[in-house]
Parts: sequence; C-alpha cells; structure tokens
Amino acid sequence: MNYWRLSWLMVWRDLRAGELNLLISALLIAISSSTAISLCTDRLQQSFQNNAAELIAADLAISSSSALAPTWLEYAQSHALNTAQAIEFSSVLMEHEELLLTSVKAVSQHYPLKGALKTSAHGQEITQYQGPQAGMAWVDQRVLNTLKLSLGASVTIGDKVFILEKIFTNEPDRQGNFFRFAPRVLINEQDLNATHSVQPGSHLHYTYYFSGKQDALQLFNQWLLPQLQPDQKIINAHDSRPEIANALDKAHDYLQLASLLILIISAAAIALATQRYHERHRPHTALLRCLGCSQHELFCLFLMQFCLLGMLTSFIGTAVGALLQQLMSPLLSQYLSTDLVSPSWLSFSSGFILGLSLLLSCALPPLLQLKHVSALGIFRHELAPLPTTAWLSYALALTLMASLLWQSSHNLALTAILLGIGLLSTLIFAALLWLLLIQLRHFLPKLSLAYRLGLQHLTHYPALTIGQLLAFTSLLITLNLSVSLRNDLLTEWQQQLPTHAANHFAMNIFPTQLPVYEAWLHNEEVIGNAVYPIVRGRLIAINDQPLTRLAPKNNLEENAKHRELSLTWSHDLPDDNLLSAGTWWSAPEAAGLVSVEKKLAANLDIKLGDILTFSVTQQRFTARVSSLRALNWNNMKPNFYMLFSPGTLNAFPSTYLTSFYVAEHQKTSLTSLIKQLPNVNLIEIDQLLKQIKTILDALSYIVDFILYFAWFAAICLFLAALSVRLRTRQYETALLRVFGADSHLLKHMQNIEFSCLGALSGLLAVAVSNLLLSLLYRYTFTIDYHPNWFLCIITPCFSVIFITVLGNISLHTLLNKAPLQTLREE
Amino acid sequence: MISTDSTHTKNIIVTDNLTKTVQTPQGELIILEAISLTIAAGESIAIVGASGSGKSTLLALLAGLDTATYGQIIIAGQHLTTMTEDQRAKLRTTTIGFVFQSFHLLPNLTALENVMLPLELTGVKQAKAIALALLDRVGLSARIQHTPKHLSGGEQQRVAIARAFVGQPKILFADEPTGNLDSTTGAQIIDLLFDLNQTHHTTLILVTHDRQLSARCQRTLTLSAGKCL
Repeated sequence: MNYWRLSWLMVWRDLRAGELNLLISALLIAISSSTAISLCTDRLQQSFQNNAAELIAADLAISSSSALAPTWLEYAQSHALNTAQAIEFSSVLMEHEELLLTSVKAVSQHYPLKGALKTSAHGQEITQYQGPQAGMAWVDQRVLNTLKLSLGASVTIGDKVFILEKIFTNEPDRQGNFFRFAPRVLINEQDLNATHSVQPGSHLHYTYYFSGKQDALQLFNQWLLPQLQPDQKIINAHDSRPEIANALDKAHDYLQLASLLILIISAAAIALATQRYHERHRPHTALLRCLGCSQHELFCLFLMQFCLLGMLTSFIGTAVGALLQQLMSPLLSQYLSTDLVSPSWLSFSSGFILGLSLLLSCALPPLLQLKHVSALGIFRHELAPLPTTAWLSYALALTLMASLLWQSSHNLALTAILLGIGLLSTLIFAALLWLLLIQLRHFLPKLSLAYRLGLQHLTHYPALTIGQLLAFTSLLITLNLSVSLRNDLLTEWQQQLPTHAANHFAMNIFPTQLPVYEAWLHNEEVIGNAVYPIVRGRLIAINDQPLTRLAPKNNLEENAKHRELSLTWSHDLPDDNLLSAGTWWSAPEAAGLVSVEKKLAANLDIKLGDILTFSVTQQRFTARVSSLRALNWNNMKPNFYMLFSPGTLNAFPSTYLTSFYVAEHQKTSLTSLIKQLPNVNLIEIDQLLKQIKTILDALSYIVDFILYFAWFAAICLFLAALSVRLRTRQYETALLRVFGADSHLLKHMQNIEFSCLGALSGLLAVAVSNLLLSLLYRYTFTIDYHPNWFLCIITPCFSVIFITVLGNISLHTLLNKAPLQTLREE
Repeated sequence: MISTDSTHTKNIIVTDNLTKTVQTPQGELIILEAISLTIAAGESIAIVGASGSGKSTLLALLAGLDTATYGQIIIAGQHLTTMTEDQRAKLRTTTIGFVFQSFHLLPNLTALENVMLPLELTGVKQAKAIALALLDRVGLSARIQHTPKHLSGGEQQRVAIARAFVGQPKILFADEPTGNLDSTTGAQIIDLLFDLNQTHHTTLILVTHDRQLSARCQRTLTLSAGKCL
C-alpha cells in the first residue's frame, strides 16, 4: 500500500470537505500563539537587557574601594570583553571665595560602554558617547551657580587646572546612586595623577565596566565570584534597577503563564477535535478493515495523515506566528529606546516542534483504542476498554505535555502548580460531577418537557458532559487567570508610576530654608511630597555586639555595615510603609525608638526589642527596635531603612530631603528654586521615569496582546467542545422536529442545557481559579492575593451568557433546516 | 393552482405539479418531476419504484420533512408548501405520524419516553397512560424502561409504530418499515401496522419494495425516474 499517497488523498479530501477546520484552527492557534509569544519574549528580553545595560553603562560592572588587580582586566580582555573604568573621590573646589564639596569622577577613554552621557549647552541637551578630553571638566549646573562661574572659566581640582567645558546633566550609571549628595565633576582619567588627589589613604571609589558577548560575560562572572573581596561588588543590569527588574520578572512570569494556559486549552481543543476526527472517520476505518486493511496498516495510514497535517499546520502556524510578531515589532520598538534585536532560531523552531508533538500526543491514544475492535464493532460504535498501550500513550502524552510546559516556562513551580492542581481538581470535580449527574436523573421525571429533554442531554452522556464541562471550565479558568493577573500587574505598575510620580529629588535643604522651599512650592503650584530630616550615620552594633564581627550574608547587609545610612524621624508612619511587626509609636512616648525595614532586619537578624547602636559624627547613641516595616521601593519616594521616633536624633544637625513633581511646562520655575537655595542638590529623574514608563507600557501592550491569543484559543476550545456532540444534537433536533417540536421548545431546551453547562462551568472555574490564583500570587508573582469578588460573580454570569449565546448561534441553522436533510446524513 | 374548498375536503392529500430538484456540481438534478395526485381520507397507498426513483423524497415532501422546489401540497386542507418549519411541525403533531426504515428513536429516551414524546409535545395530560396502553398493544409492556440501545430491531420498530400512532394521526407515513428487518419480524410489523391502521381509521401511505406488502394496500403508485406512471 502506498501509505503516503493514500494519506495525502484522505487529508486532501477532508480538507476540501471542511472536516479538518476545527482541528486545523486549534493547531494553528496553539502553534502561532506559542511562536509569536516565544519570538516576542525572546526579542523583548534581549532588548530589555540592552536597555537595562544602559542604566549601569555596561553589561557588568565591579564596584570596589580599591583598584582591581591588573590580571582581572587582562583576563577580561583576553575573553574579548571591552573594559572601561571610573575613579570617584570627593574634592573641595574654591572659587570667588566660595567653597563647594564635589564628587569628582575620572573616567577612562571608553566610558560609557553602554548608554550615553548628556550635556547641555545653550539650553539644548546633547548626547555624548565619550567623557571629557584631557584638561576639560564637565560639571553640574550647581557647581557653576555656587561658585559663580560660567562655561569657559577655569577651576582647580587638587593641583590641576581644568577648563569648564560643558554642563553635565546625566551620566548613565547615575541612577544607581540617586542620593549622592555632592554635585558631580567629570574629568578624564589621564588628568587624575596631575591632580595629586590619589594618595595612599585617599578615600576612592573604583568602578570597572565590562561589555561583550553573553557567554564571555557569564564566564567572566563565574571566574570573578570566588575572588571578590568584601569591599568589591558585582553590579549587573538586572540588579541595577529593582523596579524595572521586578516588572520584567513579573511580566516574564505572566507571559510564561499565559503561554502555558494557551497551550493547555489549545491541547484540550486539539484532543477534542481529534476525538471528533476519529468519530467522523469511524465508518471509513471500519470499511478499510472490511476491505482487508490490517490494524498495523490502518495505524500507519492515520499516523501519516496526522504527520502530514501536523507538518502542514506547524509550518503555516510558525509562519503566521512570525508574521504576527513582525507586525508587532514596530509597535513594540516605539516603546523601547534601543532597536529590537533579532529573535533566535530556537524561538522559531519551538512552535513547529510543539505543533507536531501536541497533535501526535492527542491523536495516538484513540488510534490504539481501535486496535482490538472488529470491523462490525467499529460500525456499531463498540469500543474495547483502553488497551495498556493506549494508557501508556496517554501517560506519554501527559509527560510530553508536562515537559513541553516545563520547557516553555523554565519554571518548575509554575508547571507543577498548573499541572498538579489542574489534574487533581479535574479528577475530583469529574467524580463530583458524575455523582451530581446520576442524582439529577432521579429528578428528571418531575420536570417539564423542555427541562427534561434539555437536562437529559447532560445526564444521558455523563462522560461527554463531564468532558465538555471540564473543557469550558478550563477555558474560563484561563480567562480568569489571564484577566486577573493582567489587571493586577497593570495596577501594580500604574501604582508604581502614578501620573504625577515625583520626578525631582531635593536634598541638602537646611532647616532654615524649609519656609523658602515651601513658599516656592506654593507659588509655583508644584505638588510636593513629605519632607524628611536627614542625619547621616552608621549602624555599629546590635545588642552591644559590634556589627563588624558578624559575617556579611549579602550586599544589603554589606551596605548597611559599611555605608552611611540616611537616618530620619517621623511622627507618623509614612505612606506606602506597612507595619509588619511591633507597634507604631504614639506622640507622648519617649524618644529612643527605631523602626527597621523588614528585609534588612531579617538579614541582620534584628528582632523587636533589640538595642541598636549608631554612630553619627563620632558620637554614639542607642535606640530600641519597636517595629519592622515593609517598604515599596518602586514608588519613587524617599524610603528609609531606619526611621526613629521624634526626639531621638535631636542632638544631631540635620538637612532635609524631599521629592516633588514638576510638569514639563513648569520646568523653568526650577531656576528660581536653584537661585534661592543654591546649596540644594536637585536631582532630575525624568529620563529614568520615562524609561521605566516605556518599558512598563511595552509590557502592558504585550500582556494585552497575549490575552487576545487566549481569547482565540478559548473560542476554539468552545467550538471543539460543542462539536463533540454536534452530530447527536443535530440528529435529535431533527427527530423532535419530525414529531412536532417547534423552534420555541427546541431553543428553550438548548438554553436550559447550555445555561446549566455554563453555570456549572462558571462555578467550578471560580473555585479553581481562586485556588490557583492564590497559589500563583503567593509563590510566583509575590503579589498580595485578595479574591476579586466582581470576577467571582461575573464569571458564572458571563459563562452562562457566553455558552448559551455561542451555542445558539452555532445551532441556529439547525432550526431552519428541513429534518430530512439531517436524518439522511445520519 | 389548487384550492382548499369543500370539494377537496374528502381528499386528505392533494399535490399539484410537485417538483424537487437539487444542485450538483454537474448541474441541476431532478428528483421528482411534476407529481400531481390526490389521496382520499382513510385510503391506503403503496408507493413503489426502483431505487432512486424518488419514493422516499415524495413521502418526506408529503409529510413536510423536506421542502419542494416547485408545486403545492395540501394536507388536511392546509397549504403545506407555504408553511414555515414551525408551522409544518405543528401540523405534524395533530395530523401526521411517521415510521422510518431505520426506526429513528431518540437514543437517550426509554421506550416509554419515546412513545410519550408526541403527546407531551401537544401537552396531553394522560400521555403516560396512553403510551403505556399502546406499548402494551404492540407487545412491549415488559420493555418500557429500555433505551433503544437495548432493544432488537423488531422491538425498536414496534416502539416507532407505537410512537407514530400515539397521537392518533389522520395520516401515517411509513418509509420501507420492514427494510431493516428479517422476513418473519417484517411480517409481524406489517400485521401490526395494518391492524392499528384499521383500528384508528388512518390514511396509510407507505414506501416499499415488497410486492406482498403493496398488494395489501388499496392503491399502488409507481414512480420511475421522478415521474408518476
């Protein structure tokens, strides 16, 4: 037998007769959506990585308080990595009898390796890809204001005179250090020795920048890790901006989840469509058996048909997915400051492999089931119990599905939650539904004709009803999960960056200047946030145990131990701070209490009631831990690790820190603030906010895009589930017509049946989705879970309306069809 | 144009120029061509002819199960061809019974429920009692709770006959009622059909290949290539 020719002929005939429409639609949706998602996430992830790299001026950086050994740089260069470096130190500038403490940064020739510097001249911003030439200095506007200088003038740093060439507005890696109090001066590394500022014992900060291919960077990173000294820290693109990294991680998890859900419902649709395919081909199969076709030959024949179909749809699906992704590219790239990178070939192949695997794993078990049935048995719809091989095939299909899910998500917890809970709840609910349907049979005789006939459809075929119910339920769960997560993620991102998020930080405001600042806010109608007093100090002991004796566990602890902290006090718990342990102080309570940030407390093993010792300008004081707080680090407002009760820090001089929002048209008013408060360090974070916003916009866009795919897959699954009993339904409707049933009764019956299916699926979906959401929110997305009551109510209502309306539409033609036509088709 | 006035009232079925065609890729195919006939109330008629001559199509058109391309049909004084699908269904509940060659019982209903169905559709209160009596009459009182899957071919056809007679229709259409049965069972079914027909004074129109069966009818209508001979 020429299997290929016959297989092709059968596929071609089925294609022309429209028998394969549903199966092809389900396959195309699964393949094209998974290809498009895979391609988009791949491109976006790579592009975001590039974007994030711009925020640290490199792919990877090492921050150190001492110079790195030359061998480290040689190792990096031998692995084809580009290098650059910057040395920072404090220097006091004196001009026109004015003194100013500045933070000088001497940069090498190739700095920055990623991103760009921004300077301004005559009110225009200019992008620079290299630092100043030797002999030149770029400075913050504040340096000019305070020292009463203008561009072209000279300034002396240490022993070297520099020409003030440009006003320096932004450095790519500045965002990593918002609260640098002193204004910046940028010079060339070649001039560093001439300043004689680098002497033994000088307090210097070194940053080494590296960029290159991902493999080389990973290798270098691994090589570095065991050699790092306590004062050295690796900075990577991911860690540099926690608010972006956090959003990216969650978006990535969402995309994985959405693609997994689309995969699951597409697989269900494919399984149902193949079941229908086998059902429709039963007479054909029986006939081939009657004509002498062996089981082996039949198996090969159908296997080849499915292979042909799988390859054809996989090819088209991959092409459609790639095309969709290509159509989206211009839309996505407008959200990103860098160009979208090309997707990898692996992303292209994933859809193809997926399509074939899904089809074969769903199609093979019913084929094996036919093996031990006689030709007459097939005609009579008699099926043998599933043979061991078919069960093995189902087990194999399930394993394949699990591995596909794991492969596409790379997230074992997510896969386990979805598959484990999914399977377990399927089994439990299937058993409960079975019992319910059996019980329902006893009540049927007491019901009116329309109810009896409608519900009899459900009770007479319990296995099919349960299959249909579970298909609808999984569809609703998918929509519930994707809609809930989408809304909660978007809300979280919106809260992260509200419309008037503070875009300026003002630091170093003296207490006497506060009325001036407040008057400026009032006059210029600027929205200001709370003002916090700042005392710079170090934590030196916990319960009299010196901190230096404790081994550092991570960077957070390392920073807390070695860096000065901004200490503040407040009567009230600041907005966005959440008390996680202890109590907030009330007004009459004595000073000497401190509230510690939760994560830092956990890292340093600080508990309620512990006595912390701090050092401020060589003076020591203690405070008792009265509460622990959770902070929202993404809110663009001042946040503090240590917050004291009023009166605790009275003995120390303080300056004030605040943040405010200035609209684009109000920017000129900043000049008057700078003039009135020349010592204030004003930090503009518009660029950063814009960058975060564009990334969040892109993520929101792609999240919505994925949701459309979920809807397509859901409708496809619905039609597949409906089609399983379509023939029986058509036949029964035609017979009822013969005996005089009018369309009102037939519609009423259908509505009862579909509403019942819809209500049951809706209620089941609410129960399972809430369970899944609570687990996913807790373990995968780390978002607080609050049941969405609106969704709990709307899901069953939507389910009843959706299933009834779509069911009616799909059966509408049946009501106007002459019964004989349908009966003859049977 | 035929009328529904008093001259036609004793004729329960009247057709005029009844034609049925279907579109095929090769063009229009004529199934029935210009059939004009009258059937009196209480008459029994056998429609005979070779396979593909249009017998079953004619029967289905007369019962309102299919729609004609041209021509008119009047059943019990009502124009069938101008009716909607719902109106035809309504007419069937009061006037028409139908027995199919392949029984066509609703698979999810028991024998009793299948027989009760036409009565329930018209809202008859004593549907169960009437159906039980009729099932007893066809010899199936012991099988009333069985679904079609658990009944033999002969038993299924008895249920189908009981279902066809339960609404006391004026006209009974039977499309090769013994076509799927062995000769002994077939003979029993035919006896039952004619017996019930006599009891209920129904007009009987059946399609058959069986000469003995057609001989038991008062009139035979022969079709050839869609035309009435």
